[in-house]
Amino acid sequence: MENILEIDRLTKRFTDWEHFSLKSRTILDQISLEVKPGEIFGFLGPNGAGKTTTIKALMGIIRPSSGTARIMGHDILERSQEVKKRTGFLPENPYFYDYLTVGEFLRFCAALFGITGRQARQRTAELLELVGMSPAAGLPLRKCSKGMLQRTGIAQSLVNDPEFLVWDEPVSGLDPIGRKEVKDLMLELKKRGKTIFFSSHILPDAEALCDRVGIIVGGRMHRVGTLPELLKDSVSWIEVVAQHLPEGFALDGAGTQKVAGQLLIRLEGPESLDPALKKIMQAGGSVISVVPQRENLENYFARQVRTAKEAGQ
Amino acid sequence: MRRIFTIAANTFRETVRDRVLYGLVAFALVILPGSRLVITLSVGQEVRILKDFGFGAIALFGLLIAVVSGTALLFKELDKRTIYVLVAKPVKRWELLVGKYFGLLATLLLAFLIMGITLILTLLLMGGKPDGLFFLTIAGLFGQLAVITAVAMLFSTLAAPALSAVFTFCVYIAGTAADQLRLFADRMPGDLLKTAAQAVSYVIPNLQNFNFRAESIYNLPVDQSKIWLMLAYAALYITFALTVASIILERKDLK
Ligand SMILES: Nc1ncnc2c1ncn2[C@@H]1O[C@H](COP(=O)(O)OP(=O)(O)OP(=O)(O)O)[C@@H](O)[C@H]1O
Ligand SMILES: [Mg+2]
Repeated sequence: MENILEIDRLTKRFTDWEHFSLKSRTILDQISLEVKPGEIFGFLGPNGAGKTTTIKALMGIIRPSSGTARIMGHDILERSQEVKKRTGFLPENPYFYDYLTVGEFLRFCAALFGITGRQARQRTAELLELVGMSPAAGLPLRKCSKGMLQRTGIAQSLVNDPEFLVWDEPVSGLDPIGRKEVKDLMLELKKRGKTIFFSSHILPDAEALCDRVGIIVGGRMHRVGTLPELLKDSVSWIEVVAQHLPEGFALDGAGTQKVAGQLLIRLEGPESLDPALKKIMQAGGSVISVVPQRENLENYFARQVRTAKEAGQ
Repeated sequence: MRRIFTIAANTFRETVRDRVLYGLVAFALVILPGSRLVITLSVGQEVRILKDFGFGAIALFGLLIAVVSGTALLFKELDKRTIYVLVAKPVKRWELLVGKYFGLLATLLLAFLIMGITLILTLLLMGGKPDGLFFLTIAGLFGQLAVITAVAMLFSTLAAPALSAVFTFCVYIAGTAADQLRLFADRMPGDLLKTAAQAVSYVIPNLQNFNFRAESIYNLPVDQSKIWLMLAYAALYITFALTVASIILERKDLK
């Protein structure tokens, strides 16, 4: 089956007045990626990488400077109406009309798709139930908390029962329970055959959720693939905590640190674990814990940015 | 059509909930005691002066609504980024603009209704009676503001509300003196200056086409063709302003 989303060399330059002259900044530099039907695709990158800009271009909020994108086979500019009828969009930090209530807003959104009357009320009730906002249906949007706005935003993105969802930072602004609920919702929607393209700057959001991820750094597509594939070459180490070790105990190629009477040993790579444990036993020590550590996405990004910059020079 | 209506209905709800109507209640409270003052001041002229005063007040309050809301509606939508959700739905940008325009026009109509009824009641109270010309005058005032609202929305696609409001206000002033402006332009020295001034005087809406105040107050006869001219002119000018506004909005990056 054809791809749900195809971005081909999408480029966006912003022109601004700066110090009395026009300056053009390239925010997106030839972004290309593909999203397959039925998958959850995580669009990851540090703050300011260009995730929101890419999504805005896809949704027709800004015009690409060059390059194209197709959603469900339709060009996003030439066939925008077809695309929009079958797509649901959640903006970053959503904000809605403060003069409407949650329920009124959802009915307004439904009406834009020609869903009115009893059908609209029913659809609204279902969606409120789905995002856990039923008790707040009559609440004015100006009184909603950030999390409630986020949930309302998710509900409005589903009002036309779209096949493809584009969500910008769907779990930001939510507490841990809310995060879990939204992630469960994403898996549920996937089960119903929807395709989800969402952005995040936090790795744990993507883990155990995404079929594939794309990493964007500084406006350039860095890599696309499954998470284990991408993090394969990321730095990992093992932390061993032991006690009852003699003074001056040391291991080759491992850093040690005394913490509250115990020794924290940092081992590079899993192959050094067995010999290290043996040595600890022989020295009469006892092992308290062995915890494999992986570089977090922030560090990973920082490293990628450094490499990207060095490559650029 | 359906989408334009949905947006219009929502805009109507927005402006009505935006405390605009509270100002109008205040207007009603001003004109009633105001009429008392008129009675004591000028015996025999009450009805004429009341009409003059009432038309002026309706024009002023209507202008305030048209300019303030007309310049703010689109800006608020852009500023608070509520427009993102709309644009991502199958709504074309011109539909959004036209929907907002008609929503605001509906609010303006409601305001005219409230103000008109208040004026009529005051008139009846003082022994006067509204005639056909009275209604025509109010319709004319509404026509002026329908045009000015479109101008306000056009400016709001280009500039922030305060600036757009000032521009719109200038257009209103110039528009109510359009004939004089045209005469003035014709007498400009130098061909280039003259052509430029004439061009400006034709782009600015001629709001004198909508003015029946003199006829109404002094009971003069009205030419039928003037009414048709007014309707045609309003329709044309509004279409022109909204088309230009749509073209600008269409090409714009929404931030
Ligand atoms: N309208 C604009 N004009 C000029 N520069 C812009 C504009 N919008 C965004 N940018 C710049 O583009 C870059 C990318 O911004 P974008 O919002 O796409 O990042 P992001 O990946 O979504 O980050 P975050 O995780 O913080 O949401 C930023 O450096 C930003 O300053
Ligand atoms: Mg963002």
